[in-house]
Amino acid sequence: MRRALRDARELPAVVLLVAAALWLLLSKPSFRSPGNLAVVGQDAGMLGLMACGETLVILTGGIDLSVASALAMSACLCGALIMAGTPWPAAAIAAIGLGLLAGWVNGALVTWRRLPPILVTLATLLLFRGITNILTGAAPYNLLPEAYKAIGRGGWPMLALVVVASVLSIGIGRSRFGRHLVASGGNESAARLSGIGVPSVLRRAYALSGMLAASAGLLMAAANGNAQWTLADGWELDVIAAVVIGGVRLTGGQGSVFGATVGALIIVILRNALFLSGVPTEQYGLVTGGVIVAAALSERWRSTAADRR
Amino acid sequence: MKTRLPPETGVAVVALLCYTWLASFLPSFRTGATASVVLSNSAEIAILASGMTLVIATGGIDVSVGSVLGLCAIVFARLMADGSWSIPAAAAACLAAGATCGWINGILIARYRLPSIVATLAIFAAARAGAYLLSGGESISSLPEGLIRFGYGSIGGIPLPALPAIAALVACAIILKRTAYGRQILALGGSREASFLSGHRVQQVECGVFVMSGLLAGLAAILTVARGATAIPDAGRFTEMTAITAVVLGGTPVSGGNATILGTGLGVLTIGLITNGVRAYGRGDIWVLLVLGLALLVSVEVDRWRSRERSTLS
Repeated sequence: MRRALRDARELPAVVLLVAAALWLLLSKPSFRSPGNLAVVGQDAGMLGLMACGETLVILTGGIDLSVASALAMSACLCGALIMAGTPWPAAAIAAIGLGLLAGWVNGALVTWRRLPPILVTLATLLLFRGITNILTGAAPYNLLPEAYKAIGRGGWPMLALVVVASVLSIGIGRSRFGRHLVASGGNESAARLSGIGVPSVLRRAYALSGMLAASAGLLMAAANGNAQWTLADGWELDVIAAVVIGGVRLTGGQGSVFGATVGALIIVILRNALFLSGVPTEQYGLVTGGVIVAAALSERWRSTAADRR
Repeated sequence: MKTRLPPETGVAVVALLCYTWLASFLPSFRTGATASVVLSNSAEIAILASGMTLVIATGGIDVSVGSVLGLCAIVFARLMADGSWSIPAAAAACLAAGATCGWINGILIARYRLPSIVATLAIFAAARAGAYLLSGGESISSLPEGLIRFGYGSIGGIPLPALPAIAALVACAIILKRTAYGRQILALGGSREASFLSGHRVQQVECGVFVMSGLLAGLAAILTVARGATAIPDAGRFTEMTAITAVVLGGTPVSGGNATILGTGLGVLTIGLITNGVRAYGRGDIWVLLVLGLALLVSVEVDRWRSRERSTLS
């Protein structure tokens, strides 16, 4: 039991989350207000969904920098379809399909062309956002029906995150795809020699990441009541920060969706604490940067301690 | 025995194609004035990219340079505007600030063994926030005349800001190809284990490239302030992406162990031509993103093709 606790990679993140949440609950009455908690829940749901997808890719030893651009592209497709008269559920399904396709393109470039993931997804980060800007003419899609906007509000984003994170957590542990995913990241050549179809596992991981980013985009457009090409600009770094804080190893093979979800919650709660203390948005980076370093260092020390045993 | 194509072939062809296209369709590209604009506009990217080449040669990556540039620009401008420091003193402080940021990256990566993307991501976030904190979100424009004259000046048709850029490229090329330190950088990128076993001081070598990358970000900040005649806390946003693109476009593999400064210089030039060309066609900067994204994919593809050919030949 004690060893299990010591080896849990998510432990520092969970401790940090509980401490931050308790401190905020006790010291900041404005944090407890239902309105504020709802906003925290919304943001955490969206960031968490993206972090879950990113975790799948990072578990394979890759990285997906294009998530925020894929999010904006899918959300704009959804907005455009709705404003062209498509019923919103159909538009939402089309947008998720586009996210899946965007992720699959990343995966295809990584596996078939054997290009480094960081460069492929850096290129698609530029490409997806550029295409979205040009095809939408930088126009916002803001005449969205109330029924659609409702899915981004209240508890829905959080509920979506809880469902997705639970399904993925169980799936990674129990399904064949999940075990192949972790094995591919742990030691690719060993995985290949054991008969695992590593390229197809990788393509599916990138496709899932794109799909989850698109889902987050649907919720974000609904919550803002507006889909635009600038949606979630720069969020890819918050997503990676959430994953790192959650104890997922960037070289692959170790970590959990649960950890990444906790990491996303920590980032959102810290941002909210800074907001409530009146710190300007542009200065949040000092805290985010510090937390990333602290999390990475603690992971580092724990893993060297584990090596020594 | 086939002669091997040098790694710069791809980017040289692309640069030449870009130039031929632009020169044949847009008369303004045949003038010296446009050439000088392209050179001047590429100065900061050239400086950042030369440092980035050293980092990538070790197999690392530095995504913090754009933010460090922003922080250094504010430090530089505030010292002159509010502290009434002289230009050289403020410039020295600016370079020191950049080197310090790079040193923090280097310590986290070399001594504490954090993945370079994580450590520089943290500095990316923190340095930008620092720039906003120091400037209070305001731009600083009451700068000394001499600095602005430097930003707009030229000597023999070559814009003055291009000179430090060329100097940075040449210095990095000499370090990489002509010094023992440069060979240790490449050795580290090739194999950390082998480098350590050969008795190289791996930590110092690795920390050193990040210090240089930070120092060069400070130098780029001085140029940004001089050329813009103002310092904004947002200075240098997205330049890390452009710098990485230039290096990869130039034929330096991201896996480390190999590097070409000449290629990086040509990569920067290609990006400068594309950017100015897209603007000359009256398209917004978003088209630059699109073209750069495509150029990046094409160049990685070319690099893969080249390295496969080499491995079958040897």
